[in-house]
Amino acid sequence: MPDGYPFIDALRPHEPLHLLLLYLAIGMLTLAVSLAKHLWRKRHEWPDWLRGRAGASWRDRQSFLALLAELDPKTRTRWYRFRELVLAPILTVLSMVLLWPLAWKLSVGYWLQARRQERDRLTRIFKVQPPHRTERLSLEQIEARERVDDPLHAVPNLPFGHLHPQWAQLKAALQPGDELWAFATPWPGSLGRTLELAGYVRWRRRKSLGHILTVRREVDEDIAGAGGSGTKQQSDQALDPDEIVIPAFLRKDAD
Amino acid sequence: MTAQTGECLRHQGEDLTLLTEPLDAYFAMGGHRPGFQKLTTSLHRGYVGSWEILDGRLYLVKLEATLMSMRQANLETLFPGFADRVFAHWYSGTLRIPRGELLRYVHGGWGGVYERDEMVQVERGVVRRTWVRHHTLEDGSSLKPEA
Repeated sequence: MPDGYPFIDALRPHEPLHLLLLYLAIGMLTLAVSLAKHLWRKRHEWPDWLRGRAGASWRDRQSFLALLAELDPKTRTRWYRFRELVLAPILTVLSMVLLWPLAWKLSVGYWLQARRQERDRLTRIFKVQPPHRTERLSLEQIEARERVDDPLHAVPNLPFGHLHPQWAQLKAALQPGDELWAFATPWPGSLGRTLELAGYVRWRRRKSLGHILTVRREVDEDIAGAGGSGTKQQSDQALDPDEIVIPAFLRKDAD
Repeated sequence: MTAQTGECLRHQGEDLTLLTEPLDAYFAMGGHRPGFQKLTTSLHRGYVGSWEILDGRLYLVKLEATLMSMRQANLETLFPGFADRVFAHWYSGTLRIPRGELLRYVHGGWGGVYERDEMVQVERGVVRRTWVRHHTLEDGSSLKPEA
C-alpha cells in the first residue's frame, strides 16, 4: 500500500494517538449501535408522528407517566429530573465510549445466557410418557367429564370452559386410530419446585401427539410461598394424618 | 429485582392483596396471552388482576394492563364475551393472602413476610379449605420492617 493516504495512515495503529483514536472510534460505533438497538426496541413508545400513523398511544403513555409522577412525588424534584434527564445520559454516553470493551463483554454474556436459557426451556418442554397415562377414554366421555358449570354463567357452556379453544385444537387434529387417555404426572417446575400436571393426551403407536392440561399446580406450594429465613411458621390447622390426601400420581409409589 | 405489586382480591367483604397469580396458570395451560407492557419494575408480569371469592368460587372480575400497542387491556381482551366476570376453573393451587404487619421486607418478588398469611386452597376454581399461617421473627426482634 503506497504512503500518502491520511485516512489509511490513521488506521495503522503505530502511534499512541492513533491507537487512542481507534479506541474512541470503536466506542462511538458501539454507542451508535446500542442507541439504535434501544430505540428500535422501544419503537412502540415513539410519538405517533414518528411512527407515521395517527393514534392515542403517545398521549396514553404521557398520561401514564404523569400518573406515575403523581404516585411517586420524588420524580417531581429538580434533582431527580436533572439526574434522569441530564446526568444519567451523559454518564451512559461517556461510559459507552470509554469503556466499550466492558459493554461488549456484557452484551456477549447476556446473549450466551439467553441462548442457554432457551436451550434449557426446550429440553424442559413437557411431553406425556407412557407411564403418565391413567385411563383410556372416548371423546364423548371426556367432553361429558369436562363440562364446566357456574351458577353465575361466567364460563362458556362448552367442554373445558375457558380452555375450550385448546380442546377444539386437539379435537380437530384427531385421526382415525388415535387414542385419548387421561394422564397425571409430576413435572419439574421453575426454582426447583415440582408441578402436578393432569389432562388428556392424544396418543398413537406409543407416541404423544398433543395434550390439553386441566390441572397445573405446584405440589408443595402451600409451604413454598412465604416464610423466608429468620422466621418461624405455625399453622392454625394441624394436619390430621387421616386427612392427608396422597395425589393419584404419587399413590402408586406410596403404596 | 424489585418487590412485586400483588393482585387484588375481594373476599368476605374485604378488599385484600393476593400474592398469587392464578392467571399465570391460565397462560401456562395454553390460554391466549397478549404482549403486556412492563411499564414499571415492580410489575414484571405486566398486569394487575382483580379477583373475587364468591360463594366458594374464584372469579376474575377485572384486568388492568397496557398492551404492546399501548392500548388498555381488559377482561374482554383475554376472555371475549366475558366482560364482567370469569370463573377461574383452570386454577388449582393455594392462594396466599397476607395479613397484619410486614415483618420482613424482601426486595424481590413476593418474598416479604407478614404476621399472618391466610391460605385458601382452590381446586379447579372451587375453594376447598382455608387456614392461617402465623410468622414470628426467630430472634424476637422488632416487628417493624427493615429499611
